[in-house]
Amino acid sequence: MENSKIIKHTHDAIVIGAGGSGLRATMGISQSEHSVACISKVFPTRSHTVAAQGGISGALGNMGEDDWRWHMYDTVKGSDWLGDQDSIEYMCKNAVESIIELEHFGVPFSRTEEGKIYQRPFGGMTTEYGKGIAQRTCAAADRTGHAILHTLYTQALKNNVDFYIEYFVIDLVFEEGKCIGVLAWCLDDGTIHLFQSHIVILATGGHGRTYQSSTSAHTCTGDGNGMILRAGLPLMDMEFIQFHPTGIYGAGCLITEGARGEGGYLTNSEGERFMPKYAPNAKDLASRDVVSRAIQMEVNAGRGVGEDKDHALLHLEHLDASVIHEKLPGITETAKIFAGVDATTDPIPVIPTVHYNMGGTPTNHYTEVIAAGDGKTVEGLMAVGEGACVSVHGANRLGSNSLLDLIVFGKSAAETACSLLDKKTKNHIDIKSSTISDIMDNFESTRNSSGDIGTAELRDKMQKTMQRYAPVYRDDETLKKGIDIMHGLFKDFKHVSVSDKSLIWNTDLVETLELNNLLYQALATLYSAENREESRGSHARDDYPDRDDKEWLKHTMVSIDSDGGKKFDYKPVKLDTLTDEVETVKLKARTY
Amino acid sequence: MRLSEVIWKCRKGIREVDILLSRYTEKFYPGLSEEDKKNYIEFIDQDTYDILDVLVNDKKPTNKKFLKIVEALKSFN
Ligand SMILES: Cc1cc2nc3c(=O)[nH]c(=O)nc-3n(C[C@H](O)[C@H](O)[C@H](O)COP(=O)(O)OP(=O)(O)OC[C@H]3O[C@@H](n4cnc5c(N)ncnc54)[C@H](O)[C@@H]3O)c2cc1C
Repeated sequence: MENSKIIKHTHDAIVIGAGGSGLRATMGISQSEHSVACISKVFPTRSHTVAAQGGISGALGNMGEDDWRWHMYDTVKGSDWLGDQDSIEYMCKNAVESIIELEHFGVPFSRTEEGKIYQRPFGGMTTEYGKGIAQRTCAAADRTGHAILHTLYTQALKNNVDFYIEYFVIDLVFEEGKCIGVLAWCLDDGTIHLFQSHIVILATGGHGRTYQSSTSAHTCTGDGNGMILRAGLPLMDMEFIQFHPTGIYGAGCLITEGARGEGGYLTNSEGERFMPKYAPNAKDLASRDVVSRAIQMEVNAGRGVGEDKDHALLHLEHLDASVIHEKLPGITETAKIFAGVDATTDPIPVIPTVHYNMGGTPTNHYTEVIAAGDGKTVEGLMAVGEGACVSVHGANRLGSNSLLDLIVFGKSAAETACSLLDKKTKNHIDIKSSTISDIMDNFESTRNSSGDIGTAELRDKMQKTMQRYAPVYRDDETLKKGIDIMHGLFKDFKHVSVSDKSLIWNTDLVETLELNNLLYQALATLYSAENREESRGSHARDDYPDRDDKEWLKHTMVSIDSDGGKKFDYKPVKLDTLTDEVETVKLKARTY
Repeated sequence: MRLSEVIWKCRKGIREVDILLSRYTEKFYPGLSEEDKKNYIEFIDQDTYDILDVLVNDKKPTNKKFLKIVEALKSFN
C-alpha cells in the first residue's frame, strides 16, 4: 500500500483500548479542552473488563472500620514486596474518591440495608495489618466490570469523544525517540489510518492468551506490549503471572473468588479441607497464589482428585441455595455447562488457571512509560490497565485491586496527559515517509506470507509450550527447555501462512498480527522466569524456593530483538512511600 | 454478513460466551438459511450478559425468535 492512501487524523491525545482503564482515561481527557480519540479493536462494551465479576476494592469502611493504610499494607504484602510503594500508596489513598466518583457517574453498586455501598470480603484483604478480615470490595451484583464499562462509555459519549471502533492498531509511530501516534487498520473497510497525536495512551489489556488454559476472553492478546517490544522498549516483571486457583477443570472458565468469600472451601482426594494447613488464619480466603500453590502441592503429594489425580474440589453445596443464587448468580449454571456438575449438591472440579498478568509496560505513577532501569521516560507515551506495570501488584495481585488500578490510574493518566498538553505547542511535526513505510512493510509482509504453518496451529503450539514449561511451579530445566522451544516458534512466525489476503474483515490476518504480539510476550515471560532465581509471589521456583531480597528486590526489564534475542535491565523496587502520611511497609516474610 | 465478520463479532469479552459462540459460528453459520443468519446476527449483537444469561444462566431469551438459536447453541455444546 502506498503511503499516500493512508488516511490521516490529528488529535491532542489518543487512547488505544476501550476497557475500564482506556475509557477512564478517555473520559478524563474529554472533560478538558484537549481533543481525544479512543481506538478499539472491539466494541467498547465487549472489552474484557466486562468479565470482571467480583468487584473493586477501596477502604470505604461501610461494613466496619477500615483504613487505606491497611489496604496499602495488604497490597504490599500481597505483592510480596515487589510492588512500588509510592504507586501503591497513590492507588489505595485515591481508591475511596475514585469509587465515589464511579457512583456519581452512575455505577449501580449493590447496597446495604442503610443504603451504603455493600462491601464483601476478598482474598488477602485484612484489617489492622493482617489481624482481621476486611470487607473492602464493592460490587454491582456480580457484574461490576459490566456496570463500570457501560457507565464510562456513556459518560465518554456525552463528552463527544471520537471513537474509532473495530480499528486494529498495528504499531506505534516514533520520530526521534518520541511517540507521535499509531498506525491502525479499519477492519470494516480495509483502510489504513495514521493517528497523529502529542500523547498516546496504551490501554490494551493483558496477554492471558499466551497460555492454553486461561480465563481470558479471545481479545486478550496484549497487543500494546507487543508494540512496545517491537519498538525496542522493555517490558517489566513478565515472569509474574497469576493463576486463579479455581478455573473449571478442563474449560478454564472461572469460579469467582467471591465463592470462597461467601463460604466456599476446597478439599483434596481424601476429603480433607486442606487450606488451613497452608494458611491457618485466612484459610480458604488466602491470596490467590497461596491457594493455587496449595492445590498444586496437594496434587504433587498424590492427593489430587479425579482419574489423573490432578485437581481439587470446590464446595458450595453446604451453602443455602438462595445465597448461591443471590450472591453468586450464574455459578451453578457455569458449573453445569462446563463441568457437568450441580453445585448445590456436588463439589466443582477446579484447577489453577492463568488469570492475570502482573507484568507489562513499565510506568511511573503518573503512568508515563519508562524506557530503562534508571526510570527515564519515553516522551509522548503512557500506559494503563492490565497491560501496564505501574507496579501496584508486584509479584502477585490481590483480587479486586485490578479494577481499582484501572480506575485510579486511568484517571491519573488523564490528569498527566492534560498537564503535559497544557505545556505543549499544538502543532504536529512532520512524519518522515520512511517511518510509516517501515511499519507498512512489516504489515504487508505478514499479510502476504504464505509459509507452511497455519496461525491457529502455531498459536496452539505456543500456548501448550507455556502451559507445560512455565506453570505455577518452575525450575531451571523446564524453563530452559521452554525457551528453546519458544525461540523456535518465534522464528517459525516467518513461515506462517495467511490464507486470506484481503483487507476487509480479514480475521485470519488480525489473528496473525495478534499471534506475533503473543509470541513476543511469551518469550519475554520465559526469559524473565528463567532469569529470576528466587521464589516470590506468583513466581514459584522449585530450585530456588526462597525469596531473595539481597539479589532480587528489583524489577526485571526485558527487551526482545527481532530475532528473539533478549536484553535484561533492572529497576530498583521503590520502598519509599510517596508522602509521609504512611510509612514504608517493612520487608518481612509473607505468611497468611 | 460474511463469515469472518461474524467470527469477529463473537468476541464478546467473556471467555464462556466467546467459546460457545465462536465454535458454533465457525461450524454452522455458513449453512444457515438467510432468515436464520439474520436472527443469529441479531442474537450475537445483544449485550454480552444477555447472551451469557440465556446460554449459561438458564434465562429465557427476550425475543421468541431467538428460541431456535438458543436451542441449537445449547445442544451443540
Ligand atoms: C473472568 C475475570 C474476572 C475478573 N474479575 C475481576 C474482579 O472482580 N475485580 C478486579 O479487580 N479484576 C478482575 N479481573 C481482572 C480485570 O477484569 C482486568 O484486569 C481488567 O478488566 C483489564 O482492563 P483493561 O482496561 O486493562 O483492558 P481490557 O478490558 O482487556 O481492554 C482492552 C482494550 O484494548 C483494546 N485493544 C487491544 N488491542 C488493541 C489493538 N491492537 N488495537 C485496538 N484496540 C486494541 C480492546 O479492544 C479493548 O477495548 C477479572 C478478570 C477475569 C478474566
